[in-house]
Amino acid sequence: MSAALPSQKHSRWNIYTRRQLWGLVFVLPVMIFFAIFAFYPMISAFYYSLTDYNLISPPVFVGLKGYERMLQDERFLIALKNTFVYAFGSTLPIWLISLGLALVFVRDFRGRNLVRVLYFAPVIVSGVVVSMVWRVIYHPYGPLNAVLGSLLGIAPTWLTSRSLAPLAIIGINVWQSVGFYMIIFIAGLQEIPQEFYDAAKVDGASPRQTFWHITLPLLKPTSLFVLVITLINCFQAFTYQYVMTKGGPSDATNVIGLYVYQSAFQYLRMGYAATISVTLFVIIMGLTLLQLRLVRTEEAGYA
Amino acid sequence: MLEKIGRGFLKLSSYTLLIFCGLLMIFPVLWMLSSSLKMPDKIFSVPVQLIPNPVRFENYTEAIELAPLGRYFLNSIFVGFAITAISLFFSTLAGFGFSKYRFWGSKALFIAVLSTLMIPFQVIMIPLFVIVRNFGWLNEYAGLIIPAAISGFGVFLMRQFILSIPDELLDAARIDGASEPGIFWYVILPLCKPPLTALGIFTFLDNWNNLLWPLIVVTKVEMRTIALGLTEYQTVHGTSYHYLMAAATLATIPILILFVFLQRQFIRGVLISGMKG
Repeated sequence: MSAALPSQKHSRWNIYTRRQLWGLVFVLPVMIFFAIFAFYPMISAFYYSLTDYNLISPPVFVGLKGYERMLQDERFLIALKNTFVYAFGSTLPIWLISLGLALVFVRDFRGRNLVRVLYFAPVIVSGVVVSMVWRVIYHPYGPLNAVLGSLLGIAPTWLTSRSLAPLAIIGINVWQSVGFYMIIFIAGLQEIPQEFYDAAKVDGASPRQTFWHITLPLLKPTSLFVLVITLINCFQAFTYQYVMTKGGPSDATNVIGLYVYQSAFQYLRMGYAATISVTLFVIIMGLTLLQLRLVRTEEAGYA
Repeated sequence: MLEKIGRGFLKLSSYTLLIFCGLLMIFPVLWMLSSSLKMPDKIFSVPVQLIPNPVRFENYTEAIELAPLGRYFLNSIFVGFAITAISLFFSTLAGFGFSKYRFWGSKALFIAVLSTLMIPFQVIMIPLFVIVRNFGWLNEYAGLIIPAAISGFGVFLMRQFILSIPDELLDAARIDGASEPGIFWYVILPLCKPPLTALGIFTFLDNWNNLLWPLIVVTKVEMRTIALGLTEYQTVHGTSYHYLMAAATLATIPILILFVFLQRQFIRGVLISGMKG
C-alpha cells in the first residue's frame, strides 16, 4: 500500500494520522464482537419484552401486555420478593464478616498466609459443586443435623422447609463469598496511608477510636463498593437455587434469575421471560447508578 | 509477668479461634473428599465420620461408569482454554488500541466497551440463545465458546495496564523499523504477562464454573461441560451421595491443584475481578 504513494510527500502529520488508524484496526474485532453479542442482544431483549414469542413461530408484538401480566403474576412477585430477601439478607453478613476477616488478616502474624487460605478456599470451588455438597450437609440426616441433634436435640429439614430453605441458601452464599470480599477489603485497608495511624498514635487514640474515626471513614469507598457488588451479584443469583432446590419448596427459593430461565427455557415463553429480564436490568442499573453517585460524592468530599 | 502470660494466653486463644473457624470454613470441602471415599451407608452415620473407614475407592470408578465424566472434563478444559486464549489475545489487542492510539471515536468506543460491563447476563441470555440457534451453534463448541469469548472487563483491564507502558518504548521500536502489529506482538504482549496470567486464571475459572450458558445451548450429553454434567448427574443419581461426592471431588481437584501452585495469581485474579464494578 505504501509503495504506491511517494513517501517523500508524507508530512509528519500524515504519518501520525495514518499510524493512529492502527488503533482502530486493533479495537475493531472486539467492537464487532460486542455489536453482535452484547449490543444487538441488549436491544432485542427490549424488543422481545414487548412480544409474545415461543421460539417456534415468529415473535408477535403485544406492547406492554407482558409488563401488565408480570405485575399480576404471583410467581413473579414471590420471586422478586425472594430476590430482595436473598440480596439484602446476604449482603449484611457478607459485609460484616469479610470486613472482620480483613481486619484480622491485614496484620502480619506467623502463619498468616496459611490460615488465610482456609478462608479463601470456598471462593474457588464451583457453585455447582458447592450446591451439591451442601445439599448433603443440609440433608435431614446429614452432618449438620447430626451435630445440631447431639448439641440441641433438633433436626430441622433445611431444604424442604419454606422458611428455612431461603436461609440455608443465604448461608451458603455468605460462606462462599466472604473470602472473596475479604481480599478486596484487605486491599482497601492497605491503601490507607500509614501517616493517619501514626498521627492517631501521637494523639493517644485508642484502637477502638482509631477504627471508628480513621479506618472506617477512609475505607468508605471500598465498603460501598463491596456493598453494591454483593447486591448486584445476588440479584443475578441462579446456580445455588437451580442446583439445590429448583426454586422450591413451592417457589420459596425461586429468584428472578431462575424465574427468567424457567419462563424462557422450560415454559418457552421467551417474550415474557425477556420482560422479566428487562425488569431485572432496570433494578441492577438502578443499583449501579446509585453506586456511581455515592462514589462520586465520596470523591468530591475528599477533594 | 502475669500480664505477659495473660497476653500470651490471649494470643493463643485467638489463634485457636481463627484456626478453628478456618477449619469450619473448609469443612464442606473436607466432607466432600471424605464422603467420596465412604461406604454409602456411612455418609449419614452419627457421630459424623470424617475419616472414611473402610475406604471405598470404587466410588470413583463406579461414578465414572455412570456418566461420561471424562468427556465432560475434556469439554470444560477445551472450552475454557479456547475462551481464555481468544479473550486474552483480543483484550490485549483492543487494550493496546485504546491506550496508545488516538483515532476518531476512540473515546466513544471505549465507553461502549465499558457499558457492556453493566449488562446482566440474564438480560441478553434469550437473544443470545436465538442468535446462536440461528447460527446453528446449539450443541456445538462454537456455541459454548464464541458468545463467551470476549469480556469488556478484559479489555478495560488490559487498557489500564498498557497505559502504564511508556510511549518511548514504542517509539524506540518504531525507530528500529517495527510495524504497529509488530510492536503489539514483540513489545506489548511480552510486557503484559503479569496481568494476563491473573486475567487468564480468572477467565478460565469463571468458565469452568459457569452453569447457565451451557445449560441453555447444550442438550446433547457428549457436549456437556463439567458444571452442566454434574448438575444433570445429580438430577439422575440424586440420592447416590457417595457417587455424587466422588464426581464433585473429581471436578474440584484440578482447580485445587491449580490453586495450590498459583495461589498468588488467584488472589490477584480476585482483586482484578473485584474491580469489575
